[in-house]
Amino acid sequence: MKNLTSLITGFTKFALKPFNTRFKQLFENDPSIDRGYQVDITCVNEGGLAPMEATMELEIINHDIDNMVFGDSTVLSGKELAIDHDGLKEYLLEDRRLQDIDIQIAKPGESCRIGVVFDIIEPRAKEAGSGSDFPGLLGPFAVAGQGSTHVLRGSAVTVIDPSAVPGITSKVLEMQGEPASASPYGNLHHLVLSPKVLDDSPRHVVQNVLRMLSVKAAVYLGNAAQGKKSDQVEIYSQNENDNESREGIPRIAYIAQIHGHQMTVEEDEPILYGSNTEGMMPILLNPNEILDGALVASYWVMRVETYFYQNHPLIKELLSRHQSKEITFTGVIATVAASKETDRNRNCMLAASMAKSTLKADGVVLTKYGGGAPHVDMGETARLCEAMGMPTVVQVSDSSGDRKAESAMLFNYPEVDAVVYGGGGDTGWDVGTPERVIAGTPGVAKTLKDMKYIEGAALCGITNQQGASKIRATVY
Amino acid sequence: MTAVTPVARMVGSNRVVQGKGIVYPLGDAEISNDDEKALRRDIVQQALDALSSEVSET
Repeated sequence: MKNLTSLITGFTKFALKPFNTRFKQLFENDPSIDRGYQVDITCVNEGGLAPMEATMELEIINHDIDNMVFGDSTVLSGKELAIDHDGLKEYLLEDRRLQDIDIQIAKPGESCRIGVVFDIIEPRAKEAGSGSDFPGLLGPFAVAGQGSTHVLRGSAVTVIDPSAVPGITSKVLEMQGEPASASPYGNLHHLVLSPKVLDDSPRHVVQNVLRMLSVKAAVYLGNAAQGKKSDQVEIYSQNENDNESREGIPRIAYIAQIHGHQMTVEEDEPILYGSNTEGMMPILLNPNEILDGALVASYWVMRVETYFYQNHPLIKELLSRHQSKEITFTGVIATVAASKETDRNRNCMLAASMAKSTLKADGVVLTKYGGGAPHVDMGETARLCEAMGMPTVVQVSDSSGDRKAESAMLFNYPEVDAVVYGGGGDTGWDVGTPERVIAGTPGVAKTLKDMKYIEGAALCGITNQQGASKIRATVY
Repeated sequence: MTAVTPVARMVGSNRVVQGKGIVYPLGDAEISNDDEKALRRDIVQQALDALSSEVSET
């Protein structure tokens, strides 16, 4: 047995090295891949193999940030993160599709309004040698969710979309007042990136630039914590080594939509491990993979940011209840809402069947992504789960403009009777004129500055269809 | 005619014709114009057939 272990360890070391070297060569030298920009592989941690242990374990090393400043070098000292403005700018401008990039810091409580936000990401980096950052998207392919990850807790990288205008699904970030305290992003130190992409770039190119910038900056900052210790460490795992004692504990699966194909995806749109999810069928994921960079928000988003996935409250809660043996969390089935009926039938049936026969779930939690069509798919999947003997809980949000309960429901199955309402779009606040506005264009800056009232749905983090909201409604 | 038939059934529609997709209920961007026209004719014809058929309680 001892020999076998050392053989496996030896093999891992042997297999890992050429894998990384090979990948680097492929990444740097393959002339057939015209990425239009240079990839600085040195800033990206190396990949790794699939889990060698049956139970995937993720160590999250939290480093609290209570101040963010520009400095001579990017360094984390105590709770202060200093950022080398010029160094970061130079690194990000290696992407030849960019003309320029403006980098600013926005602090909690500051009279500052930011928009239109493309995405918000928590700065993170894998501990050197223990995995890949955003594998398949930024780093070389590896299975996310294992090893150690440094997290700069209390900070965020926020990327502005230069060609978006404020609208119903466009996002505004408010740094002070009630809207800020009602959002999980209001009390964070934001590094705000406002890029200028080459003129006449097609929309999907602009979006790809934004996506790559967001993850590159997040890892650049996260690497400031490289090798640093912290006493705030969290371990995430679905440890089932104590199998016997789990008898009688309900087995719960989570069916999570990660995109809705009523909005078509771009060829170069990375969502899951760099894949654009087109033609995707339900896939089984370890919950750690979602927490650790396998998944980012799609270009078309409705109330979700990548920061949310990195801190997915539903997954964290299920894992925590797994640890306390209230439930056995059997895993995440990632799926997509379909545009076509045939895809809908296939995805809904396969997701439900996977929960039943592969995960042997006793019950299922379901969430949706985006608007009305995903609502239908989630309802249909829940109906199938119930028919297979698995009670369900679905999380819905408002799909109606008139606030009538009956028009908010796009499914009505008596058996799907545990419904959690995830917040509507009509909450809002009167706001004053901010002292500072960070926007993609002067036009957007003016619109943002002149706002007198902001709807919750137009603010980052107020409502979230998958279970992150700081506001609770009460019916009197 | 709809690409989301579960909703049509839920609200009690008695004639439901399945469209191609939410993005294009009566078309398909992935096929040629001629094929798309044929597809559209097909779906509309189905709808007309449905309209002219009797509906009975089941």
